[in-house]
Amino acid sequence: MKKDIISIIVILLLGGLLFYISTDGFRIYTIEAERIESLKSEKPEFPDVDVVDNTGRAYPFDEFQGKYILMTFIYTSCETACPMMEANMKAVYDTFDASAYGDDLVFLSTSFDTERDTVEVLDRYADYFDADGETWRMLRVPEARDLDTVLDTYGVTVIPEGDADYQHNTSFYLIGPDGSLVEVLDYRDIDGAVQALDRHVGEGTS
Amino acid sequence: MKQFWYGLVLFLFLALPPVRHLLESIMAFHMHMQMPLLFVSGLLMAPFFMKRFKNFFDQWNGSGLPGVILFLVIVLYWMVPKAMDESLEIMAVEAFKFISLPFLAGVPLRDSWVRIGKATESVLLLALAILFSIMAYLYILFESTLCNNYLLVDQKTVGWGFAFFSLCLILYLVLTLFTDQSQYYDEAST
Repeated sequence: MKKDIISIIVILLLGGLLFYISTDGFRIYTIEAERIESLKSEKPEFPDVDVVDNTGRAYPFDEFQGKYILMTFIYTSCETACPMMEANMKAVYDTFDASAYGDDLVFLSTSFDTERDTVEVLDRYADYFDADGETWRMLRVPEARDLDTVLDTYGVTVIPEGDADYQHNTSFYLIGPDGSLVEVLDYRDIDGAVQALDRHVGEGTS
Repeated sequence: MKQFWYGLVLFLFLALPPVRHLLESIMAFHMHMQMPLLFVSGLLMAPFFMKRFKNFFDQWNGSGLPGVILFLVIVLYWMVPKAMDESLEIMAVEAFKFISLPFLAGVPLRDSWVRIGKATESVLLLALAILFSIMAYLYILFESTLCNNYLLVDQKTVGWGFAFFSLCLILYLVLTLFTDQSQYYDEAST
C-alpha cells in the first residue's frame, strides 16, 4: 500500500511535468496559440512580396512600412466568416477616428484566393464595405510563392474545403510599423479592436 | 498468450505507414479509431506483461489505483488539442502516442481492472463519461478550429463521437446500477 502511494505520486509528478512541458506552463492548449506566441516573440520583418490593390495599383508590401496595419485575410466568395469579419472591420473603420492618426494607420483585407479574386472582384467587394482604396485597401498577392510568404509570416493557416471554399483563421492582425505582429485580435470584439488601435497607434504618434 | 499476438499484430498494423496515414487524415478516425485501437492493442497485450513482470505490478500497483491514475493521465494528455496536432507534425510526439496509449494506458488499466473494486470501476467510468461530455460540448460548440490540421466540420464530428462515447458509458453505468450483474458470472471466471 505504501508503495502504491509512492507510485501514484511519481505518476502524478511525471504526468504534471508532461502537461507542464507540452502546454508551455498550462497556458497553451492549441497549436494556434503556440504559433501566435512565437510569432509575437520572433518579431517578423516585412515580407518581401509584391501586392496589387483593388484600384489596380501594384507595389511592394513594404510600401506600408512605418504604418500600423489592421489586416484580415479573406476570400470574396466566402459566405460565412469573411462577410462578418469585414462588416466588423467596417465598424472598427467607422468608429475609429482615422483623421487623428491619418497616415499612421491603414486597413488591409488580403485575399488568399488569388485565382478568383481579381482586381475587379476586389474592387466590387471593396464597394460593399465602402473601402476607399486608400485608408482601407483590398489586396491580392499575384505570386503564389509571395502569398505563402505573407501567410507564413503572420501565421495564417488556409485549408481548402470542398471546391470553392477555404477554412482559414479569422482574426484582426495588428501589424506594427516595422512589420512585426503586435496583436491578434478577436474579430467579434469591435470595441476591443478599437481600444487596441487607440492604445498602440495613439502611442506611436504622441 | 493468443491475445498477446492479436494485440501485437493490431499494434504493428496500426503502425504501418499507409494505415497511419489513412487514420490520421480524418480527425474522427484519428481520435476515435486510431487512439482507441492503440489502447485496445495494449489491453490485449497486457496479460503477457502482467505475467512477465508480475512482481513489479504486485509491488507498485497493488491496489490498482496507480494504474488507473496513469491511464487517466495519458487519456487526459491526448485530449489536449495541441497534443493531437503535434503528433502529426513532430515525430517524437507521434512515437509517444504509439508508446503511451498501448503501454501506459492499455496495459496498466487491464492490470488494475482485476485489482480495483466495483466502486472504483464505476467512479472511473463516470469520470470518463464526464470528461467525454465536456469534450463533446467543447468540440461541437467551439466556433473556431482547435486543431490546425483539421477542418471545423471534422471537429464537430469528433464532438459527436465524444457524445456517443459518453452516452455509451452512461448507459453501461445505469445498466450496472439497476441490474444484478453477478448472476451472469460465476465466481471462478472473474
